[in-house]
Amino acid sequence: MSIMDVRLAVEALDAQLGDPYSSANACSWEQLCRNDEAGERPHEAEAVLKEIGVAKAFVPHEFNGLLLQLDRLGHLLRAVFRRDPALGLGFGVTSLMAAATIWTAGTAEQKERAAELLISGGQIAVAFHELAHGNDFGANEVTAWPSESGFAFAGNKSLINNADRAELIVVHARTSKNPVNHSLFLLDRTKTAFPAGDYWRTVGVRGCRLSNISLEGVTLPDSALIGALDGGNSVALRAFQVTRACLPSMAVGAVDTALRTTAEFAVGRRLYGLSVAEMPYVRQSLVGVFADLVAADIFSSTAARLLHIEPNQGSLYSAAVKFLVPEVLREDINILADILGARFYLRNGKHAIFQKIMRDFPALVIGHAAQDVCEATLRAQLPVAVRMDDKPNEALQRAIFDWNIPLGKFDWATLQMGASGKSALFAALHSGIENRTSVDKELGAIFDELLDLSIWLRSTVVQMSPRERGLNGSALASAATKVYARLLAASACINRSNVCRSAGQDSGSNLIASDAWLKIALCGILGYRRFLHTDLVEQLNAVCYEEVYEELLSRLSLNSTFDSLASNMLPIYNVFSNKIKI
Amino acid sequence: MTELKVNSSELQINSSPADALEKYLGDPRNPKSPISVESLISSDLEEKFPDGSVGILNNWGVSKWFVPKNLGGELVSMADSSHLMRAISRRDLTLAIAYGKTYLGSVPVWLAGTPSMQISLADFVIGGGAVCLALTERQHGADLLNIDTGAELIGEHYSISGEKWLINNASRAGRITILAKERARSGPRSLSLLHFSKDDIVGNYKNLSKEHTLGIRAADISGFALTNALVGKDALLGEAGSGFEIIIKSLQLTRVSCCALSLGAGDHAVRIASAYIRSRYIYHRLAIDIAMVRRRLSRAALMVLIADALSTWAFKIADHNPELLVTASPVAKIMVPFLVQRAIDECEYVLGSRSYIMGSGITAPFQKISRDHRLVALFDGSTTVNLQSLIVQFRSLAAGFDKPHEPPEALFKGPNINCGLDALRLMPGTKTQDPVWSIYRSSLFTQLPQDLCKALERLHLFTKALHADMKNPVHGSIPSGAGSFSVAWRYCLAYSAASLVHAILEAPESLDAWGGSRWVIAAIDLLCNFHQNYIDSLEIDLIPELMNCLEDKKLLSLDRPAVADSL
Repeated sequence: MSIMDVRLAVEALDAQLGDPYSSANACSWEQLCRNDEAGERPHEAEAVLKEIGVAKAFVPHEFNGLLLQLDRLGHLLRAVFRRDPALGLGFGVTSLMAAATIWTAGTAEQKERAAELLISGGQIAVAFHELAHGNDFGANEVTAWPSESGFAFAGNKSLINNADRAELIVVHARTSKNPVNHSLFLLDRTKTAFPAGDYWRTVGVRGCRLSNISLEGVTLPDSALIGALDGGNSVALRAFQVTRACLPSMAVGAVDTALRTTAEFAVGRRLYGLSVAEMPYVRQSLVGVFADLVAADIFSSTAARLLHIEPNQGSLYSAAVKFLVPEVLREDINILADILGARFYLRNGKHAIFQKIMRDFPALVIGHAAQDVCEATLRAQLPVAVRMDDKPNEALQRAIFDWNIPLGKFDWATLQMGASGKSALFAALHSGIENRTSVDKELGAIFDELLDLSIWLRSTVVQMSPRERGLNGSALASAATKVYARLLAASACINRSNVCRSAGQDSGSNLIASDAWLKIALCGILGYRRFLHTDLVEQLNAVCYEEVYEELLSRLSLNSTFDSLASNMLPIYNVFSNKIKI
Repeated sequence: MTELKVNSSELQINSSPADALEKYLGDPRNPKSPISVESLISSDLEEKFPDGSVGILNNWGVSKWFVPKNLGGELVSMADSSHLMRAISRRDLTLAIAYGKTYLGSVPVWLAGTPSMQISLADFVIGGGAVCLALTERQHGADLLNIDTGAELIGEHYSISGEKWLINNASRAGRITILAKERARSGPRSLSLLHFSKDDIVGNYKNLSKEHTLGIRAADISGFALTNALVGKDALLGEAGSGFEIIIKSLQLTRVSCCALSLGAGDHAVRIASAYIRSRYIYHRLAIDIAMVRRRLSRAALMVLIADALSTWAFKIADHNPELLVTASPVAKIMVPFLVQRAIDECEYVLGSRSYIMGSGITAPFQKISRDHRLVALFDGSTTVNLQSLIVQFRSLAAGFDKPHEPPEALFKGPNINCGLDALRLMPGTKTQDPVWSIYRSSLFTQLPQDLCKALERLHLFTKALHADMKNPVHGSIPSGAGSFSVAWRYCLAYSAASLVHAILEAPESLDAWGGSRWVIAAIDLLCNFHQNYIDSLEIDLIPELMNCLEDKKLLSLDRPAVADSL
């Protein structure tokens, strides 16, 4: 499936979601803001997703779903996140997290049951979270022990999305004491009825229903066990690599809408005799966010592709994406808020979706492994992370960065808990820079800075003791972790840009192929853009910004998305509506 | 460290009114206290204005500190008034913003009103009346020169028509200070400021409905429309056509007063996160025993301390040398909310899902602080507006920087000139050196501990490079590009670091209260390297001092006054 096919699939989905500007439409920003304001589930919008069969995207091909390639999953679901991150989370993404554990370790029967439920538009809840332990699910206290009819349970889960309605629930429970080990169970509500507790009120994602569940007195048959007894944490740590790479890719959609809302305002608003967008600072800020958004797409999509290609490094790539992308995008939302001025603060009116995204977004940042958890995963494994071959394997690199090369169906069994082997993405930073042709002075200076950082990182990591890399290790390891994640992102951007250059594919690719975008994106990756003060940035000439701004304006006027697909959000045709495939 | 003392007796801040208010208001965690966190969270949820809490502040007499002494009030120093506001904002930002607005609406009258108008307003404010400041309009935002609201002098009256929008307290206020255009005039001299009581309006006045907002949900954020509304011509402030100038001067003062809002929010957020990590057990230990968590929270505390030092400097400038507000005011308005927002963000990572749920318990107020505080960077001149105001001064500031560094003592020895209210000398284009850079005078370097001295040298290099960049003619074009804005950000970073050095020179005991000079060095390095990835490599641990602060019931600030708080 080529990139063109993915774009058509996304456009088909957007066509079915309808006009986001039309207040009568269930999947419009105005309606979704109304649902949020009322603190209610967006039932009508969910019905549309159900009708379209969006959840098929979560189900592997062999179980009658559409899921083949993980990078496509992010691209497609991004269309839902552009409408409303809470809709994306509430309708589907927690189901995907739950399902991922089943695809990784479930029995054929469990897989079929989960697939059937998702395809019919139902939900699977993922019952891991206990308020007392948060991200540290290895300490979870809900307990299961063998009983006459299978397993008996005790304890409570908290803040579980869809616990009130999910027909299936994946329950994480402690099954051995010494050493502490957990197992996963698939609870089928049609067989084991029990009520969910009261809803939690949250500052954002108010359309989601997060509630507590009590497992006291629940018993489940042996067949409910997902994977091996006491193997639950291993299953989760493997399966969640997929969702940790894909969730930030979907989150790009939320920032797409934040950027669109702000850019529309800036173009239309006149201050001091100019339109706001004519002010160079505003224009350059918009361009910076646009460039970051494309880079975030490329980095998360590359990590998703790498889960197919280099699964032995999957724990690193997924953690690096979840570590870096949400933070960068959140900073971008703050920058956009500065431009939007007082409008970012209003819950009514045509910019109201912005404050909703601002409230919803932290759920994507703190949820499903917060930054510190990802950092801990990365810092512990830094020596493996920076291990690379001297000579890059060109076919391998091609498969990673040429998105037209199909990867086939994802094999969930290949996921590994810890990283091993060598890192193709890290090595590709060097080859990507070497392969870049006609490098001008500015780009050369940026490349030099990246290469210096890479040298610094490798020499720093070599000198670091395991203790230093631990949870109670040094600040230097934190810095090294951040540099590592940023270098991976830079590597993805440079190599993807090189591929787009040689292929010269289409509008989205033209931007990525350009020096202008690459320079601005890499400067963003090198640090907080607002404070950059190396010569190269201040002199990063206006021509670069203007070139990328032209593209931004063109996408705004054509209702095209700001991500690497540049798909049309308001397609005038509907002929592909039955052909959604990913 | 005593050798560093520079007339500290004279410069010491008398914080007793804030102490008294703090005692009066009591422990905000106790639902029975006059102003409790619990009641303010519920007023936020219900979007119900906290009338009861405003009444309590009025009973105590907080609004006296909005009124100059010569008019019967207590306003003598910006620091005193701001510390009072901080005692409120550390309990609830919505309340502080709603209550403090009266000061913003009154300042133009203190600056330019007739004696009789001043006396009448003083009585009104001391009596607990609310005043709103009506500048912004739906279509023009910060672009005050292009407002549409018109005022026409007809005989003995001004006839005012137009709509003011997103006005804090517009509906509740009994008095209005409004900016309007006199049609007969053009350019900046076409704007006039008028102040009048709503009761005195003859003709059509209509409140606009409340706007629903992301934060400060309980506040009265609305507006009003006037249609040929008549007010007496004595409503005019200053001369006809001087409205813009008066507003610019007022904003220089009121922007500084906004610091108090952020400082209270910063104290509250870090206090919650600090209390949380003491009892949070995760990864087989208390969160307080995890280095990554300690660093995050230490960075948060550091940001609040820098914000406190910068605010203290700005308050002092307002009190003693208001002509220097041209730099101090925008820098403070940019950096204090910025640093505190960063601190809040770090706390959010520490609190995880507890930063997101509207539950109960010690972390419950956090999500509200985070929403409320985002507004502070926006009102009374946004970050962008303030950065631009610095950029236009680059050339003169850079020229001034080349002059010799003078010690700052002389600067602050003059009589307190009434919070800048009676002597606003606006001096844009001044070519003298900003005294904030007096920390680079060579005599100082010999007095300081060696490690601090080294950090100061790094800061000096950063400042010199910055000023060299400020001379680049590329910054002359208005509106400016991102390059100019990033230089302006760097100016703010350097200025903040310098103000921190002033703060510890004047109160060396604050060094020890926060564990010696290492935190100041960390702050300098943090500010000079804000753009870098390696910022995380900062080894900083303020947790022991932070815990002392909580246990001793002290405010998270350099001078650590007592607070009544069970957290």
